[in-house]
Amino acid sequence: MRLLLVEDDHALSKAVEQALSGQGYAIDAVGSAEAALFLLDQAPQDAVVLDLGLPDGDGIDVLKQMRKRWPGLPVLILTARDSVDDRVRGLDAGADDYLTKPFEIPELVARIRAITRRASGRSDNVISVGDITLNLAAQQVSLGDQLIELSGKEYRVLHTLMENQGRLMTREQIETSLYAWGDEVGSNTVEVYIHGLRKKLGKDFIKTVRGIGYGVGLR
Amino acid sequence: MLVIFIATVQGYRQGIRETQQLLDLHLNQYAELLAGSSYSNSNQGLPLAGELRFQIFDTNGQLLHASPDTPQAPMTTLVTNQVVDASFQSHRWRVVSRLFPTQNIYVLVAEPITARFDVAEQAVGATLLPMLLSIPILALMAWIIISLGLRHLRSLATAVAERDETNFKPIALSGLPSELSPVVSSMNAMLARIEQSLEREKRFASDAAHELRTPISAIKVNAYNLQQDCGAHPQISALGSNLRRMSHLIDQLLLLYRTSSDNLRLQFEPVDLAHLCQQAVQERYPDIQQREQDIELEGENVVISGNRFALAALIGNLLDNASKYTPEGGRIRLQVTADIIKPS
Repeated sequence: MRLLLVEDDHALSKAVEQALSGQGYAIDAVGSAEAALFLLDQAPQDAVVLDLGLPDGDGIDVLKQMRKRWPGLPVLILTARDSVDDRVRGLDAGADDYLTKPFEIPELVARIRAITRRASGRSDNVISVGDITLNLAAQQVSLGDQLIELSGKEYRVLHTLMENQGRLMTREQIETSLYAWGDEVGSNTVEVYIHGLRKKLGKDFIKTVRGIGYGVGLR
Repeated sequence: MLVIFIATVQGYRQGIRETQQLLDLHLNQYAELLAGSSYSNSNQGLPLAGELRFQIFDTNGQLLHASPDTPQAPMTTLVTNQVVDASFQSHRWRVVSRLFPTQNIYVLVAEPITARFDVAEQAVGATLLPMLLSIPILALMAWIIISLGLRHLRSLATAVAERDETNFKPIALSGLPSELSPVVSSMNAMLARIEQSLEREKRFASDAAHELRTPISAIKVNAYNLQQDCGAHPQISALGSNLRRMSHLIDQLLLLYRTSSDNLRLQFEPVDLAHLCQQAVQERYPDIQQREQDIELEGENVVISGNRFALAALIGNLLDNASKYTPEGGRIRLQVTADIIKPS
């Protein structure tokens, strides 16, 4: 997967490039808006990680240009500006996601994975955590080689958790993702599906943090 | 006012003194009149002004004439020319004693002191009374004029007192007397300068904190890469937790800017505390996991009106301290309960 990293801080750019290369990404790193637009013209990219504070222009303007010329290109804003206003401005300008510095590499990777998957809808897309594999195209889940039967809502809860692997998800965030699928969500819905998933996937696969939420692949 | 008062008192004393001299002169003239008149041989038809008394002695001290109701003894010692105070008939008198050598007689004329004093007071009082009456009128006028003048100063003082680190609004110039306008103008200019420098300072702190986030991110990613290359190492995880502490400090620095009192008050909204706790735990979960701590949240949804940033910082700090002082592998319990506290 090809990734364009637009970041003017050389040290950070270098470190992220190394980290993401280790995750199987091919990185093109540039330090200016002009270079970013030039490179996008030259070689198609699967996603862009964009810093907002660039030496030759506001990242938001660059983002608007990218949106105009490459409408389907997933863009993740990576910035030190963390106010709600900045976030809304970024998302309104067409960013797919917004991550503030300082950040953890696993979270960056999880988010890049989420936005590229959303954009591509590729049929061979699978997410794996431990022994569990989730096939997005077939909407199938397997434990090792064995196929597991899940209800629609169980599948969607697991999907949310696996897409955000390594992160603790609050119950509310899981509920929100169910809403996004158009599901009805009652007060105990999430608990019920987690309980069902535990029975089918083994009780240690999903970690519960009482009162907060759930997570898979937590360290 | 004090000057007028002192002048009045001084004028009164001076007036009394001069009236006394005038009256003494009057007594002398009267004595001369007595000595030179044909009446010196009789006491008939002598114009006795007021309560005057007179005696006429020869040089041997023999009483020749006296006004009615006058003692036989000399009213004062018989001397050539003198005016003195004397007492007889249980009154105080002013007595003039004159020797007239041509007629070889002494003429003594007396006048009651009280009468003299009344005359003096009437004369002096008539001139000084208007002055004395003018004092309260002047005082009242001065008071009215000064308080009118001070009204602007007082409203200016109130306006200045209302200004603080959150309020740098220029003070309105309208309705101010022209002599205050330059003062207020320079004060407004100063307010603007203070506001600018304060704003610069705040922005500097905020910018500095923002700027620091990029290098910290770089170090964080470096530490991550190191861990990927060398595997888990206690030194690397120590580095990680130090980095988290540093990011936390930067967040606090930014919070300081965001929660400056004007921002804080403007941004009150309904906030669910349980929800904030969940977010706080979620953010810190990597740290809590690192220390192998077990965490749980118990509680109902409690919605209060408050500033989201400040409350999140409060809960975050509590949680950070809880994690810091709970041993590795320990257990942290968060509880959200609503308890009505009546203001005492």
